Amino acid sequence: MTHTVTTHGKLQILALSGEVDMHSSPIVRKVMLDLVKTGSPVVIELSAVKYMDSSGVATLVEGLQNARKLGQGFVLAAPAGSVLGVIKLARLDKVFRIVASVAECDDLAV
Amino acid sequence: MIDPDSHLMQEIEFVASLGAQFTESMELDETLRNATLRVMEHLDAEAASVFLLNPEGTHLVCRFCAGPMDVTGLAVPFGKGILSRAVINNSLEMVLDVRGDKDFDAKVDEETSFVTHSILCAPLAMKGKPFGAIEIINKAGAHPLFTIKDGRLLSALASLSAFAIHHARMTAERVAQESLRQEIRLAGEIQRNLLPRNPEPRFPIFGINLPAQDISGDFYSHVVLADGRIAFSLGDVSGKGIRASMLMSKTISLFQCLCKTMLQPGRLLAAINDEVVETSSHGMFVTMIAGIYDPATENIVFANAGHLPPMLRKADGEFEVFEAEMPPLGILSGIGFPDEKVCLHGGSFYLYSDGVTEAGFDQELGEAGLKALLNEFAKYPLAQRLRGIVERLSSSGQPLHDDITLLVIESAASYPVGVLRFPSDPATLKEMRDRVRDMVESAGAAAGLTEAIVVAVNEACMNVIQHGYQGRSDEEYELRVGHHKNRHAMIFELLDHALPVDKAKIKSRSLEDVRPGGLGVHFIRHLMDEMEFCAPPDGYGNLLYMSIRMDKQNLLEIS
Repeated sequence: MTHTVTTHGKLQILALSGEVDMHSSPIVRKVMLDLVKTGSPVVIELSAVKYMDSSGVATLVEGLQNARKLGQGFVLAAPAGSVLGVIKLARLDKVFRIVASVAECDDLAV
Repeated sequence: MIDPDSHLMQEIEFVASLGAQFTESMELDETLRNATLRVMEHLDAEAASVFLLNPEGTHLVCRFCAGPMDVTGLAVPFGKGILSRAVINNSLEMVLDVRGDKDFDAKVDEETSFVTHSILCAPLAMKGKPFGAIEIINKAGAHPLFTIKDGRLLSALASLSAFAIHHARMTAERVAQESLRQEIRLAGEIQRNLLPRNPEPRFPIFGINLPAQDISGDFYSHVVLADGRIAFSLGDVSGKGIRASMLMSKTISLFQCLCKTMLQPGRLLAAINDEVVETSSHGMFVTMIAGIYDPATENIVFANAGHLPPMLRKADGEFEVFEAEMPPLGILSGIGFPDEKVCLHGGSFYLYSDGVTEAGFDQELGEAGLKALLNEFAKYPLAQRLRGIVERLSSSGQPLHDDITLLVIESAASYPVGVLRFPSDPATLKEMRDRVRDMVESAGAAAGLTEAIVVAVNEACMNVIQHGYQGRSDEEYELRVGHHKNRHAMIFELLDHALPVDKAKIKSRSLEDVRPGGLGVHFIRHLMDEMEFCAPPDGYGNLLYMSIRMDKQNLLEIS
């Protein structure tokens, strides 16, 4: 698993790639919660994530909850394949704001 | 307009207060006694009594009385006397001088010092059917003769009393019925405990019994023998209800006891037959199949005492039916039952009771219908298969007219695909997933199914690391992957050497509650067909058994 952080206006984008599992989700958690803490909206870009287990899903839920506490936007962009599958399996596809690409989050950038 | 001080008004008030007394108290005897005493006083009479017909209808029995003589419990033959006349004619009897009445029975007077002069007697009746009477004797005071008004008053009391007595009897009957129903429910529970507990999914036999009522006349059983073979049986007692359930309890107990030492099913049935013949009554009998299955060879030896023929559904989907010619148990003593042999060869052997083939609302299922159901559900694991069939049979909304019992024997052996051993280190999970993915793909799973399997197996391994080994990374777990070709299913057995898991704590959490964690078990249960902790082979640690049908599609909705 690798990750990169970029910004677009006020928006902070955490792009993940590879497999988010029990081994790598603690890293994702730390980076993500640090971004949330800054108080700016966060997008998790998932298009390059091939696999995610329940610990990865749990990490995203934690990010969403922390962002909500601060009144911040928290968006999942472009989850695909089995990653979207497990989000749906956890019935979280209606809980997260999920967009097809980061470009759809321009409303949060300003 | 009625003058409030008028005699009529006083009478109405008196009857109303009697009525109130009946509605205020649930104590029937006390209420009746008080009401009768009040009427007696109101009419200024010497004695009063209430007589009820006994259940046989032969005597009128004094329920209670008031006055100088206690005749409580006195039984007067029904049909004789003024009291009986009131009951038979269902009409008020007023006799102003008993000496002029041919029906007057002077026996009580003769035996006591009491002298009866006049009688006022009103029947107790419900829906026109009299069941007793209230009797008032000897009006005293300034006007020592009963009047029409007195009669009306007593009739009013009799109506109220009749209703109260009837109500009390109905209530008592309901209580008795409820208590009997409760007894039957308990008997049913004891019976269900005679049936084997649900075996783990790796066990090659599964049985199911759905009683039409609380208690069942059907039974099935399986008992693991000392040599690893498994004795099994399925039977049906003639008739229904408590008698059938008692003979069922006896027969299954005999089987469970004798099968451990009598290893020839025909001889076992002969022994049970002789026992049942000796003690059976009312022409009751039992149809029964008993047999022994050898998991090592897939061979079955069985004998049939008048039961519906068992069926073998072969691996190619063809059926072979084994007709029986011997009579049921409990009819002729000293007869033998021949043993028959069959080998599963990857097929499934089914025993069933007539409640299965006779199920159906418009049309009975029949043997052909059962075969069709067995084909339809063949791809499911044993427990799901039989539960699915029974659910189908009982889903018409109509009450079952007979008990439904089914038993299947099918080899649990799967073709080994591979064994993986990994350290309990999260860093190696990716490699584990890649290996599982390869194995499942090589066994022929489609891409969507492969990903679902990988997700579920990964969650199970995570649980071992996180909960079993408490995050220690220097332990090890083993994953055995098999292919159950007959059922076209992938089997996963995950073994660890951690402390035994508390099965009660392994459950999916509610997804309504959005929070991190606790999703793993939900993922496994949702994706796999079976997930169950079984007895570990070494006797310690845990063995998680999971299976999934290979015809399942796109469980993760991957587009």
